[in-house]
Amino acid sequence: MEKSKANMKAILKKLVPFLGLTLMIAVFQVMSDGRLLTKGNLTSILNQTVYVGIMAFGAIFVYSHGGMDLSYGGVIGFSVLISILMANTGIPIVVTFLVSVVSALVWFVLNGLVSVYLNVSPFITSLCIMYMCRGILNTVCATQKYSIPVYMYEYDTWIVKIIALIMVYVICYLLFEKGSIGKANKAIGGNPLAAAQAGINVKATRMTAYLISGITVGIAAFILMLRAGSASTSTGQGLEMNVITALVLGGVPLSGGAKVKMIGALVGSFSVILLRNGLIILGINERVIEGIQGLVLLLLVFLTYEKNKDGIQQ
Amino acid sequence: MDSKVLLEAKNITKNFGLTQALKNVSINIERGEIIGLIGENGSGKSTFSSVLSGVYSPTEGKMYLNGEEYHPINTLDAQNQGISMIAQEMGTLSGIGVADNIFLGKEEKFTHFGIVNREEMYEAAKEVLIRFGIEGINPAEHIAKYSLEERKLIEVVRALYSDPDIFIVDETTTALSQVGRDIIYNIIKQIKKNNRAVLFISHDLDELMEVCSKLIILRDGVYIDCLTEEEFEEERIKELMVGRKLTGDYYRSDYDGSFSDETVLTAKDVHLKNALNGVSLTLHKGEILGIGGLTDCGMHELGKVLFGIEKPIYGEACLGDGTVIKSAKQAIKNKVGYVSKNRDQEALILTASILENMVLPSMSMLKKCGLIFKKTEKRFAEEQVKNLSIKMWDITQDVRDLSGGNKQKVVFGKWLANQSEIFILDCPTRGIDIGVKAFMYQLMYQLKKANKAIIMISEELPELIGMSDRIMILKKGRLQKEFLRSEDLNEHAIIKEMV
Repeated sequence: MEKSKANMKAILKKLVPFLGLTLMIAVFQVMSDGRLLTKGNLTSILNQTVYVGIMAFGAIFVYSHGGMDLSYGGVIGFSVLISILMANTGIPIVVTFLVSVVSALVWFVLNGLVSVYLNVSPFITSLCIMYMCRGILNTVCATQKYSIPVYMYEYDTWIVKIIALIMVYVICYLLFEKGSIGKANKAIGGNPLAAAQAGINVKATRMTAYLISGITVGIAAFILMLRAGSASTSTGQGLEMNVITALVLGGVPLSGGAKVKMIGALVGSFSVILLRNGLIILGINERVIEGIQGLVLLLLVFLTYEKNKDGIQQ
Repeated sequence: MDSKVLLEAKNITKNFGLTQALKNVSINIERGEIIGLIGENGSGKSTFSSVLSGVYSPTEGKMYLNGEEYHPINTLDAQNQGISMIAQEMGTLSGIGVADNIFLGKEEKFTHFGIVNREEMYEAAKEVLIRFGIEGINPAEHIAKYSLEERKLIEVVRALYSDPDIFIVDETTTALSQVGRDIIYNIIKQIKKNNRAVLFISHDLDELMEVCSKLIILRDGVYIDCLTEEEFEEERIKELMVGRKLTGDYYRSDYDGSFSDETVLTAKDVHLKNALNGVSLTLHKGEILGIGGLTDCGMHELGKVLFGIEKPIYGEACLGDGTVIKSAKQAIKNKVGYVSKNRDQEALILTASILENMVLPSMSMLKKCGLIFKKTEKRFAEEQVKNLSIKMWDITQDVRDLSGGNKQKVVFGKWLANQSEIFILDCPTRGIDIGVKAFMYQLMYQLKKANKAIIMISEELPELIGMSDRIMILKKGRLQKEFLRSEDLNEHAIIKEMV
C-alpha cells in the first residue's frame, strides 16, 4: 500500500507541469473567446518558443549541476549582432550559422572558466557577462540598427524552426538522459563529493555543461536573428528571465540534482511563452506582464525548492 | 510512586509522509533513572528522542512532564521546560565563540540596556565548564580553535547548564574518545545522583549495559520490551532488537590468516600534510588488511590517498603493476572501490534514487553506442538489490528514505556492481545495526574467499580483531605496529600501541 501511494505521488509530481500547461491553454482559450488557438497566434507562440526552448535545453545541463546562469539574454543579443555584421560581409548562410554558435560559445567558455576553475559564483559571473554583452550592444547599436541581408528572410519559416527545435531537443535529451555527461551533471547537483568519489571529474563535467549551453544559445541566436531581422539595443533583453521561468514551469528544481528532467525544459518553454502570450491577448500591458512573470516565478520557486524545516535552502 | 514519574509518553505515533516511524509507543521516565534506548537503525529511537526534545511534534499521542501536559514547539522550548538533548548530527555554530555557543538563544540573561555584557557571559561560561569537569577550554576563544571532541563537549555543556530534568544523549559518544566518554559518564552519574533522569541512545551495547539502569528496546517503531539491570544479557537484548535468533558467528570464525603473495595495492612512504608522516603498506589478493588507531592517527586520510582523492605531498600509492594512482577515476578504472566514513556526505546522493546511485561509478561499463538505456541500468542495479537484500519499495526510490544499514548496502552495491577487485572500506559498519553489520562481515569474508583484496579502516577494535588477516596500527601518521591474525590477539595489546 505504501508503495503504490508513493508511486502515485511521484507520478503526480511528474504530471504537474503538463497539467499546468493544459490548464493554462484551457483558461486562456476560454477567457480570450477562442483567440488563443488561432493559426496566427499559434505561429507566434511557436516563433518565440523555439529560441527560448533551445536555450533552455542547454541551460538544463548547467542548472542540473547546481549552477545558475543569467547571461542568456545578453549573450544571445551579442551573438545576433555579430552574426548580422558578418552576414552583411557576404559570407554564406552556413558560415553565418557557425559565427552565431562561436560568438555565443566564446562567452560561455569565459563563463565556465571563471565559474568553474576560478571558483567565482556562477550567479555573479553570468550577471557580469550579461552586462558586458549589453554594454557592447548598447555601444554598437546606439545610433544605428543593423539588419540581415534580405535573402535571409526566406529562411524564417516554421518548418526550419520545428526541425531545429526537434533536433536540438533530441540531441540534448540523449546527452542528458542517456549519456554519461547528463548523469554526471545530475550527480554533481545532488552531491559533488559523492560524484567525485564515483570517479567523476567534477570540474571538467561542469565545464562541458557550459560548452553545451553555449552551443545551444548560439543556435537560438541564429534563429532569433532570422526572425527579428535586425539587432538593436534591446535584442534579447529579458530572455534570461524567460529561460529560468521555463525551467521552473517545467518542474525543474533550481537546486539541480537527479530530479532535473529534459522534458521539463520543453514543456516549460511552451508554458512560459503561452503565459506571456495569453496575457497579451487578454489585453494586459507588456510591462505589467513582466511583473506578473516575476511573481509567478517567485511563487513557483517557493513551492518547489527543496527546503528544510527552517526554510533555508539546503 | 506516581510522584517519581518525570515524564509519561502515551501512545506516541509519528508519521513521516507514508513512513510510520513510531507506532503507539508509551514510555515512562522516572527520577533517578538512566534509560538506554536501543534498537536497530530505523527502529525509531532517534525519532522518539526528537519528539521528546521538541524537534518533531508527534502525529498522535500525548506527553506529560511532571504531571502536566507537555508539547514543546521547538528545542529551545523543550529546554526551557526541562528537557535537553545533544544529538549525533547537530553541532556547534562555527562562526562564533565558545560562550556564545553555550548561551545560544539565552543572551538576554547577560543583556543590559540592549548590550550583551561579554565579561559576565565568559565568567558564567567558565563556571559551567568547571562544574562539568571540562578543562582546557577558554570561553572567550573562537569555537574553530577546538577539536571536534571539544566542540562536542561544549555542546554537552550547552544542553546541561540549565539543569534539565531529562537529559537526552543521542549517539554522542560515538564521536568521542575515552576521555570524552568518561566526562559524559561522570555527568550522567551526577544527574542520576541529583534525582534527575537521562535517556541514553547508542549503538554500543556494552556501553549501554554498563551505564544504564534500564534498557528499552524498540523495533520498527514499536515498543518491544523494557529490561531492568538484572535482566541485562547481551544475547537476549540482541535477539529482542533483531526479532529473531542471531544464528552463526558475528565475525569470521577461522584463524587462518593466510592470503596470496600477489600484491594488488601499495603505499610507498606516503606523506600528507597534518596527517601522514611516511606510511608504507602492501595489500595482497585475498587479504583483509585492518587499519586501526585513534581517529586522528591518519588512517582515514590514508584511505583517501589510496583511492586517489587526496594527493600526498611525498610518496605515492600504486597498483600491483606499479601504476601510480592519481585520481579516483583512474582508481575506479583499475577496479578499486572506496566506501567513505561519511556515508551521507560523501558516498551517496541522498536525493537521487537507489538506481542512480548504484550505476554512478559504472557508467562506462553500461554504455551501448555511447548511450545508457534504462533497461540496462535497471537490470544492473536490481541484481545488487537482490544480492544485498536491500529493503525498499522501489528501485527508483530516493536513497534518503532508506535506513542507515540499507544506505550502506547501496554504497557497497556500487562497488560490487562495478566488479571491484580492491575494496577500501573506511568504517564500513559505522552507525549501522547489528543485523546489517553481521551481513557486512559475511560479505567481506566472501569477498576475501573470492580472492578480492580489502582494506578495512576501523575505529572499532573488536571488528579489526574479528575480521582482519593483518592489522596495522597507526599513530600520529606513522605505522606503530603490525599484528597478525591470531586467537590470542586482544584489545589491550592493541590499545597499548594506539595511545
